[in-house]
Amino acid sequence: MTMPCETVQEMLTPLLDQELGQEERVAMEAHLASCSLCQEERTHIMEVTKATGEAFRGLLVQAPPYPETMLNASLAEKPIWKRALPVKSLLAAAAVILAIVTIVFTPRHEKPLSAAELLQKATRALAAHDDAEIQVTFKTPFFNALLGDPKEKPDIPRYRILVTRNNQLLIVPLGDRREQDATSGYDGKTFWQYDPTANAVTLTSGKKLAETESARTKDGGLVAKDGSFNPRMLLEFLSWDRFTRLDEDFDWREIRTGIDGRRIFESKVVPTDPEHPDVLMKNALVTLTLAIDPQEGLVESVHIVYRYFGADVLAMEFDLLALDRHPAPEVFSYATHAPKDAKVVHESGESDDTDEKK
Amino acid sequence: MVTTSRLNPKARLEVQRLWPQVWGLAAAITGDRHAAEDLAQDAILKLLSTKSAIDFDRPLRPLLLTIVRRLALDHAAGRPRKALPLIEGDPEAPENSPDEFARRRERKKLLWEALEDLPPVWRAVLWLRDGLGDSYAQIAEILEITTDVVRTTLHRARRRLRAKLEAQMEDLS
Repeated sequence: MTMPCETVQEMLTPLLDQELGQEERVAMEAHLASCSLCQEERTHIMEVTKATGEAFRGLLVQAPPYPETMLNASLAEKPIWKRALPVKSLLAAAAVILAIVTIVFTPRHEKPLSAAELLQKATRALAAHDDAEIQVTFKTPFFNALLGDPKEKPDIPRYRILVTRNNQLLIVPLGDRREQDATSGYDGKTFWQYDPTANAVTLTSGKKLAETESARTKDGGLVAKDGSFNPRMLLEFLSWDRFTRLDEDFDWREIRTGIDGRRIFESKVVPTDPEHPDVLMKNALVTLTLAIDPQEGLVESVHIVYRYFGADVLAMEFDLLALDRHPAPEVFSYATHAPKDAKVVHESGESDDTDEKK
Repeated sequence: MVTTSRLNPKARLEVQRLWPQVWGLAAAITGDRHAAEDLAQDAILKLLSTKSAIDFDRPLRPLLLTIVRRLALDHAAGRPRKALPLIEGDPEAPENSPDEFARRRERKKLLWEALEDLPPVWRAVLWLRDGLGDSYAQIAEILEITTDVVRTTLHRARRRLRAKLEAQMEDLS
């Protein structure tokens, strides 16, 4: 009798784990030989099993050293000072002390860096590279609900960011957002944004950027007071300098060590009112979390949560993906990312002409 | 009472050999490396301090893993869930291709995110099966459940992981 696909798929796990009897195994193999759907399911389960196996085996080799000394001390029948010390054992005791001294002063494992040392190491590590590729993921349902219909599938915007030591910048939307969301960049002289729905590129020259520097901002700085987008604040927020100054800008507290040895730091900041820089926003709190790999000293992720009146209104996670890609200059040019027929709008402050992109 | 140094040499070596597995089970359940170290030590102390006689000629593994499993689940139940790390193991240095490096990091990150959402017991089953290669019967003994429950849990865990990874990859594609 042929087994139904549902039964076969439920039994794929024990089949792959070699936990089926001969009869069941033969029936399963017979079905799989002629069912592409179940074959595909088997492939998927095999891939997942392989991935979890690799992840967990990677963890196994990172187990801390076996704490024999500590265990023996905890289990000792009597404190050592209460025990009689046989005279004959004096020589042996001296040897034991010598051995202990040797063990204590022999660095079997590198001493962990202090929190301050690790933050300095992380800063130096980032400064030693030329560019970084980062992924930012917005993770706040509340923020998503504000932007769209909350009944719809939660929107989890993700962007890839490429930033260099020269403060060149490229921000590319990922997934569904590619069709509707702007790609932005800064080539060192001009900030540009390509809007795919209008098929238009907006250019903001260095002069215009300098003008927005003095403009007072609201809504966290990305929107200027007249309601227009403020690219200068974005450039500041994502500047290379910003990434390599993490140890100076915040008061970090080490909160735990992750399962894989990454050390986690946290900083809580009460922001100031953008309209009144001397006034603290007492109902707001920004929590930043850093995850640093202590071996390479790299900041591998930064989590930022903006909390306002007790609700997380915005949460972003920045994950380091790659370093030193050394991208070609054209990567940061709008010509590489916008179609040839896109309209180009200059916001140079010198002229407001509109023309077709050459 | 006995100390590890006073165990018969065979049992002492066995406890030492089992240490990474014991620590790993606690780490998989709690998601906390330091807590796992404490819990693994507690489990060994509990094993060696017990007043009832232990037959050290019998396999210690199921007993020790059962003790640490109980301790770790109690620990996990009393605390808010901690996020598992996003990237397993030592991050490899960029090798030949930065693209490949980025893809590997991304895959690991997604996998740990998906594992993070599983209940601690499911992670324990996955650790014992996929990490240590235990049979369903061995897992059932350590977790004090039936082999049918082991099979169902593994099936659900893998399917859920697969669905989550697929959804995340779709987001990226």
